[in-house]
Amino acid sequence: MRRRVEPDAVADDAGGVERAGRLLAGVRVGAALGPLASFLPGGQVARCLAESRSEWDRQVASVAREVGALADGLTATAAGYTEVESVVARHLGGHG
Amino acid sequence: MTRLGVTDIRRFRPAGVSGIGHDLDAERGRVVAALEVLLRRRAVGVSWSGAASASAADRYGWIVVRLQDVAARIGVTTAAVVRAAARMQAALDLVRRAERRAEREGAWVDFDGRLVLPARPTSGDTVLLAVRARADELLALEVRRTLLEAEREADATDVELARVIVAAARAAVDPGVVGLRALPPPPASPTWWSPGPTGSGTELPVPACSSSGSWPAAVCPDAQPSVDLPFASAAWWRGLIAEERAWAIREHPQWVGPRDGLPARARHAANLALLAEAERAASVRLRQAIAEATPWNATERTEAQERVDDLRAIRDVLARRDGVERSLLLVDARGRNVKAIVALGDVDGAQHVATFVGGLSTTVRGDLGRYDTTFARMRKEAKAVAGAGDVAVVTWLGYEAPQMHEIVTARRSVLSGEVARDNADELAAFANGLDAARDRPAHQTWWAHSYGAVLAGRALLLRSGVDDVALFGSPGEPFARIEETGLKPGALNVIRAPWDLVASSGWLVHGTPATWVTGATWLAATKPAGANGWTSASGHSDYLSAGTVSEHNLVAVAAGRPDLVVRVSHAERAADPRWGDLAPLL
Repeated sequence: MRRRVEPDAVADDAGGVERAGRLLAGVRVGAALGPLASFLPGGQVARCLAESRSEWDRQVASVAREVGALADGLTATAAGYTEVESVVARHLGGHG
Repeated sequence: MTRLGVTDIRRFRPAGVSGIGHDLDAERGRVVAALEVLLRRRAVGVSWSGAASASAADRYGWIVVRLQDVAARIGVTTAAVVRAAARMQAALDLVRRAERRAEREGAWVDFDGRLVLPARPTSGDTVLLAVRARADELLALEVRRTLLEAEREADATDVELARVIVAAARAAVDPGVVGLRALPPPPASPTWWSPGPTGSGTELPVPACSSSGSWPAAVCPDAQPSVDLPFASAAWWRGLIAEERAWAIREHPQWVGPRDGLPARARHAANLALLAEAERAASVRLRQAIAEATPWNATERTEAQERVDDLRAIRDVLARRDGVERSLLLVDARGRNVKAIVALGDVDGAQHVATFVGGLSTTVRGDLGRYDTTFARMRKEAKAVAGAGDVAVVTWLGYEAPQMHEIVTARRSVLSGEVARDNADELAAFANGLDAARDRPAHQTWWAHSYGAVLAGRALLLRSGVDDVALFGSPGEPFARIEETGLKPGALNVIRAPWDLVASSGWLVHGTPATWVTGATWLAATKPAGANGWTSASGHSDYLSAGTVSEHNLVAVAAGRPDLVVRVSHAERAADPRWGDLAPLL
């Protein structure tokens, strides 16, 4: 199988994905909904709010983890290919 | 079920709830910004190929879809919250109205919603006493009815909002039940839209960093050149709920139709509205020009007629009934000549998308129908060799090509690179938009002919998602080595037919001959010796003719089948003088 890899570009991709992960880490849907209980008191909204907030936090954290895993995977890919290149170059006489 | 009473309504804080709507919008903006970063990253992710790369691409796609879903559900929640704020205010207003009504009669409504009447005289004129008693009864009835309505409104608001909040959080939302509110405008629009307290809009100046519309500047990514705008647009669109999308198409087709990065189906729907609008304006202009016909307005009459002809050509192509799906991806009637982009096939789903860029003297009225027929045929041929993957072909007349009569016009002359330079970012943005609108990028090819190859060459110097390029009849390119383009080895293909004087001599004004670009793959236009079933292309306008070797090569490149291309013979390559076919004439 023929493969083509540009480790530096893959590392750049990883950096971009990490940036997306950082943006997601700042998403606070549950916290934004929090004051609803006091602004609209006494009804069903106030009663269901806690569950909804924790559900949002769980889901946002889950997708942020997925993004983090993708970034980690890309970083490992770039590092792995670079390592293979340098190990082979070293073993074959340091011409790399 | 607990019913909300007047006591609860008095504790309502609709302004606070409205503020939560703004906060949620900011959160949605963060998700959209992350989505935008991923879409942009994915489009440049051509730095890696193989099975692991395909897995990474799948993971990208899966995350993009999840983020789109999260953004849309935050949007649903925001819409419900903002709507609830307005309804809470309405409930409060009803309570205030009951209070004022009571006050006018000297009575009052207590904190819990009970009407308290003052002590009335018990003796005196019996008639007056009866009148008073009746007035108090009416007062009590009206106050009670008003407060009941306030409670009903409050209750319905609470129940509906609770239902949407729970459903949106559980990913089981039905946006159809949510009232539509003002949606954030598309990125880089001239104004951004801010919902007023009652939902009516106010136009505000564009903030310094507004790539994602009204979403907060704090989450805006870096400033973007126009070729990157489609990623912001795609993120904006993915962050809208279904109702908001429908509303944008209906009320602001100009936001959607020409916007790279949005799905073809949405653009087509919006562009049909824009086409109808342009047709009406063109018809009025032509009638007026004819009505005022004088020897001095002949040019105006000609231009008005050409405008009508341009738009009719688009309408005719869209009306074709040959079983091929067509999408109108652009209609722009603001310039001297109409610009249009028409896609054959499913550009949002096809594995391969080829985009044709026309050259000198190309116009919508003169060429769109002809190209559409040609590309319907070539698409069929490409599908036959592409295997399982579908193929879409786009006729990209998204720039005003230089015309023959403009040859002495400095900025518009075909002898100048200015038109190409000024429009290259449009082509690059179109390619980026095609990828950004999809869950997984397509294999994209540019077929660029004549001056269109000059424009494509300029676009190759920009960041774009194009994978393969075929330049044919190119008068010259603004680069000398493939490395300058960012294309992978083997992705830059060049075809030059014998007796194509444009390709032979154009480099005198347009830079490096395409066949001289280091790293370019030179494909044949002449039938190889002994080959049956093909004919040779000759001259500048024969490359797309059915059965020619050049047509076969273009199809193979677009279908992702480099193994099928026919390369130029060694003899032909060795015989290529710098002066090409002009040599005998000089």
